[in-house]
Amino acid sequence: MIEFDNVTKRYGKTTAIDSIGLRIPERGIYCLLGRNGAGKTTFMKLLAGHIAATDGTITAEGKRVSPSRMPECVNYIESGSVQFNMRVSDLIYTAAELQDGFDRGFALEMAARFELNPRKRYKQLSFGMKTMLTTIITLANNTRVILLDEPTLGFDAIMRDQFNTLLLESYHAHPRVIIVSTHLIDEIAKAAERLIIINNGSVLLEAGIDEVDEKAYTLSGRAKTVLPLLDGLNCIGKTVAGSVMAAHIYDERIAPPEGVSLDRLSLQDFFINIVGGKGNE
Amino acid sequence: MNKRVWAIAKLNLKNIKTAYFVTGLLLVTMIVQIVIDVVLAMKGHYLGDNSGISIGWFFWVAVALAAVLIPARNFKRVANLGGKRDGFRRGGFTVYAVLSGATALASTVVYYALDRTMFQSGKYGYMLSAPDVFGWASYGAIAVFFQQFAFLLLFAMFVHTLTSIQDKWYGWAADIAIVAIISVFTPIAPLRAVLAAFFRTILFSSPPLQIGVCLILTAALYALNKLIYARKAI
Repeated sequence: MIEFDNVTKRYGKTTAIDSIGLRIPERGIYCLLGRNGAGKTTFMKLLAGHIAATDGTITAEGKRVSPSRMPECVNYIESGSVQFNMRVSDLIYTAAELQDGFDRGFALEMAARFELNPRKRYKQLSFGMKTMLTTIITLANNTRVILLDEPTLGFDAIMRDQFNTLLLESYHAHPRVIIVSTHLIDEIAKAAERLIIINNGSVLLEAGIDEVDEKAYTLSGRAKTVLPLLDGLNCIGKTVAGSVMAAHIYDERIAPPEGVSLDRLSLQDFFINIVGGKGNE
Repeated sequence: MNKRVWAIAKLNLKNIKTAYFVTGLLLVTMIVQIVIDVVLAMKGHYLGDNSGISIGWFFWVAVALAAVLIPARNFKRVANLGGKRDGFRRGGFTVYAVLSGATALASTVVYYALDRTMFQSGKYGYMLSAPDVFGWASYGAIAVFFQQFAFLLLFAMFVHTLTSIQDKWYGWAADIAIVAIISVFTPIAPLRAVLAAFFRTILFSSPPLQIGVCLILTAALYALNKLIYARKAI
């Protein structure tokens, strides 16, 4: 469905995306993770045809993507995007006029559910509400690929929870590829099925959330007991406090010996260790 | 016309309020001045030596500002509502055609209703108007409208194109080239003649030639915009 073939994007001397090769063959909710400046937004802009790749090819549904050939099947709106200072209802109606397959009923229903006052102008909305409106406008399009860039930026805990519900409802109504870039890993894991981690412009990992949940764990115990266990295991980080060690693993689970405990590694800790963990091997 | 192109045109027309505001302000200022002149003339003051510029010119400001605001401000906003590049290009052209038509019509009406009837008597002074300056009036009212329309459309497309490339190196190169052409061509007689011939053709020539050349250049700029917008980052 989506393919990045050795794609590089440079801004002057800065390489934002470095020879990425990635295939997204099937529908699902994908969580795109990466530190600030890792290349997430560039990845999305490239896929949407908003910017041109420096090298390599991107295809969506078999068609090559570029700014002159923006894919009809991809819908992307940048986070914190500027909008016309129109009423919420007018923005939704205008988006419906501009986009084929825009579900105006869904957008208006979601706006009502999230208490977006349809009479308020865009500039009168809070930061979180602006983000919500952009997210609703993006999700209301029935294109086969939806890209959401930091869709929960500025949301409070309740709104973030509601967003997950909105995401799942939208997906069940129109199953498709939804790629969500976020920093709130554990929250999006409630909705997402697969994980793509980008670091320094490269894809570090593409795996199912369940697979990560199964393979990411921590072995804790006395260092002299834990250290020998790490041979042959993919250790993504270690924390040592005196004679006690916690080793973070991304590998098949092992049966820990006596004196060593095996605990599930949260997605957040897994992410921290895999992109910036000390003692990566 | 494509439904989406018209939707983008409407969106652009609604969202160039700065252009309407500035034009409106200038028009109000001019109207106030005319009212004062009329009152003074009615009280016996001699205004025959006064000269000013016609209200008709001020409508041109709306076209010029729209051609800056649409590419500079509205392009990203249209894209953020799901508008496509090609729709934006075509929608923008539709706006310039509508605004150029409306401006040419308003300016023609002002010329015949105000400039020619009121000011050519000399009682209130003299008004410098585009149809007189460029000689369009000598071909009749229809020529005044269409010659003005063709020139304004070309002018709008030129400003739109130049504004659209300001975020690229070739935009700056184009700015420098324009300044260089004017400053180098003006003092050198043979080159000045070329520059003068160009402006004579697009402004002062007979209606078929002037309208034809303006529309051909507009079409060329429109085609150039296809290349520009195919590469423009959102």
